[in-house]
Amino acid sequence: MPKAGRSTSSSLPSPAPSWSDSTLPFQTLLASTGSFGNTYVPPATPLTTQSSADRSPGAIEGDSLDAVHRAGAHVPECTHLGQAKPSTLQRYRTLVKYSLFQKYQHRFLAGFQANQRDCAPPKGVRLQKLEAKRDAILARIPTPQCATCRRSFGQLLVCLHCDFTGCWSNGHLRAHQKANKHYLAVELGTLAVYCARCRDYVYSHPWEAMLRQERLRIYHRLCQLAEPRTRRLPLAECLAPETNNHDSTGADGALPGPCDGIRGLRNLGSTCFMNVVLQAFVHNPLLRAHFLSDPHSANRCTREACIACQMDQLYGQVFSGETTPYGPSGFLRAMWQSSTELAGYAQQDAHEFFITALNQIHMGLCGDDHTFNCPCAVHQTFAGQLQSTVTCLSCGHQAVANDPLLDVSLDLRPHTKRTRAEPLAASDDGPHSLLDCLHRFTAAESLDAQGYMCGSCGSACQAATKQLLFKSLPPVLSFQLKRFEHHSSASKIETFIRVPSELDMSPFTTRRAAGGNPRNAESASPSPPHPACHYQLFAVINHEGTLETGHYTMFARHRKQWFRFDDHLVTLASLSDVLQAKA
Amino acid sequence: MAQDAVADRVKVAVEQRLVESGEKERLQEILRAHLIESGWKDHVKAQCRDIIRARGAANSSVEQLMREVAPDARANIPENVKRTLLTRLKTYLMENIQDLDATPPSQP
Ligand SMILES: [Zn+2]
Ligand SMILES: [Zn+2]
Ligand SMILES: [Zn+2]
Ligand SMILES: [Zn+2]
Ligand SMILES: [Zn+2]
Ligand SMILES: [Zn+2]
Ligand SMILES: [Zn+2]
Repeated sequence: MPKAGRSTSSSLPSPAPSWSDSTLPFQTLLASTGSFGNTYVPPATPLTTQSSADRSPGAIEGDSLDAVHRAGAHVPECTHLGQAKPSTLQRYRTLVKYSLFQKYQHRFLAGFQANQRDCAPPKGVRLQKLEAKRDAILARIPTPQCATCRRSFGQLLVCLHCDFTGCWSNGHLRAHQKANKHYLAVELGTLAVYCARCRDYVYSHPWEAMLRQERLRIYHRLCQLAEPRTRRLPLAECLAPETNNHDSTGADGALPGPCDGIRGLRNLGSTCFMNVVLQAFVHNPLLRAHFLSDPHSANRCTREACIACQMDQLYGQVFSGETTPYGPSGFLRAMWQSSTELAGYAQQDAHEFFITALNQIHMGLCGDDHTFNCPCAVHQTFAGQLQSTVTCLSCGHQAVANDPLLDVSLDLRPHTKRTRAEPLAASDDGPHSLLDCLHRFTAAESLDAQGYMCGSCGSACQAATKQLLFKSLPPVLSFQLKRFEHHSSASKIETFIRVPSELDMSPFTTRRAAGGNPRNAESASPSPPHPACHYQLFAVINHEGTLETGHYTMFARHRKQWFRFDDHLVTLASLSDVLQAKA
Repeated sequence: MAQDAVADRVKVAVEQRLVESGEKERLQEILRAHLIESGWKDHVKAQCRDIIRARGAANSSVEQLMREVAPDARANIPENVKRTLLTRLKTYLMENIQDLDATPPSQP
C-alpha cells in the first residue's frame, strides 16, 4: 500500500528554518495560556506543506506550484531575534521571571498561608520573618501599567530595548517603538515576543527553550509550596534534557533534534498492522501539519473513544522528544470500542485498519456522517473523486457518475475479463508496476451483457464499456495493492510491483483524457507533468511473509531521509531499499 | 473635562487594585474557562485561520487581524459569560470601593 504525497519539496526551502513559520504566532497567541506547563507547543516540523493542505481538494484546473509558493513557503522569517544581543535575551529572561511571578504571586501567597496551617515553618525561622520576606518581594514587584495611559488591563508589552511598558489597544507601545526605533517587545501575559520590523509575533529556539525552563522552574516552586511533603524529581533533572538539547544545537540555534518526529511503536500483541498505519499517519505531511498546528482539542471533545483525540495524543507523543518506543494502547482500545467491524475482524489487515481509522478520525473531527466536501483533515488530505463513464456502444450514449474516493485499490490479478480499448499491450500475467495497475484501473472495460440497461436507447445493450478516471485528485493519494484474495481460498499474490518515487497522475485524470483516448493526448503533447498531478512517494507499507504468519513493516520519508519502521525498531533506509521492497 | 479626568483616574486606580489583589488574574481565569467552554475561542480561532488562509500568511499582520476579528469576537461573547463576570466584578468593587472613595488619587 504505497502512498504518495503531492510533490512540493522541489519548491520549498529546507525544513530547518521552520521555527518562525508565521502560522505559529497566531496559534500560540490564541492558545489558552491558562495552564502553564501545558502551554509548551512542541516544535513544529516543517509546516511548509501547510499551503497545499489549505487548498480545496481536487483542484486540478488552474492550480500550480507557483500558488503554493506564494501561499506560505516564502514567508520571511524574523532574523532580528537571532541577531539580538545576549543582553536582550537576558532581559527577556528577567521579564519572564517577573511576569510569571507577578502572575502567580497570589498562588504563592495562598500556598504559603495554606502551609502555615498544617506544617510548621523550617526550624529557626520565625513566621514574621517569612512574612516580611514575602512582603518585601511583593513590594519589589511593581504592577505593570502603560507608561502613557496608566492602564494595567488588556495587553501590555514591555520594550526589550528600554524600560518602557505600553499598551496595545491604545497603540502606545507601537508609538514608542516607532519614535525610538525599538522593535522587540514582550507581551506580559503570554510572554510572546513581538517584532515591530516583522510586524508579527516571532519565535526562536533558544528563546523558547529559555521560556520553557523558567516556566518549569516556577511550576516546580508552586508545587513545592502547595505540597511541600511530596517527593518529586529535583528541578535540575527536569531542566536537564532541555539544556542538553539547547547546547547541542547552540551554534545555529534553530535546528531541532535530529530524532524529532521519529519514534518506534511497541507491538501490543500482533498490532504491527496498526503500527504501520500509525507511522504512515505520523509521516503524512498534511495530517501532521493539521494535528500539530490545529489540534483537535481533547478537553472540548466529549466523544467517547474518540480517534481524533487519539491522533492528537499520538502526534504529541511522537514529537515529545522522547525516543523510547511508544505503546499506542489508547488508540487500539478506542478503535476496538468505536468500531465493531474491526473488533470482529480477525485478519488484522492494515488496509482495513487504515480505512476504519480514517472514518473514525473524520467522525471525531466532524461528528457527522456527511463526507462530501468535508473540511476535516482526513477529507482535505485523502478525498478525491472518481468519474465513471458508461458508454453504450449501440447508441453512443454516455452515463456519467462521480464517486468519492479516499484511497485506490488496485487489482493485481491477471485479466480474466475481455477488455476493449486496452491502452497497453498488457501481458496476461498481470501488472508489474504501479503504472501498469493505473493503466488497467483507468482502462475502458466491457460490461457484462445483462449488467447494464441503457438509459437512452432503452434496450438492454449488448455492448457497453465502463471507464474510471480521476476527476479530482486528493493532496495525498493512497494506493492499495490487492495482494490478498479472499475468494474461494485465501491466498496472496506475490508479484513484485515496481513503485516509482515520483508519479505523474495526469494521464489518468478526466482532464487529460477529455476528448478522446488518453494515449492520443499523451503522444500529441508530451508536456511536463502538471504540478497538481505530480506526486512524491513518502510512505510504503509492506506485508512480509504469508497470509497467516505475515508481518507488517513500513518505510517513511522524514526530512528527506528514509527510515524503516518495524514496530519498535527504527533504522535508516535508502530510496533503493524502499523501491525494492514488495509493497 | 475635569469630570473625565477624575473618572479616568478612578478607572486606573480600580484596575491597579484589581491587578494587585490578584482579582484580575482570577477573573481572567474564569473568563478564559467560560470562553473555551462555550466554543467562543475555537470560533475566533477558526475565523483568524480563515482570514489568514484567504489572504496568505505573508500578507497577514497581527494588527490587521485583530482589527478585523475584534468587533465580531467582542459581540459574540455569550451573554451569560458577561453577566457572570459583571456580577463578580460588582461584588468585588462593593466590598472594596469604600477606601477607594476615601482616598481619591492625590496626584494632579
Ligand atoms: Zn523581526
Ligand atoms: Zn496606553
Ligand atoms: Zn523602548
Ligand atoms: Zn476527540
Ligand atoms: Zn471528513
Ligand atoms: Zn464533515
Ligand atoms: Zn444505448
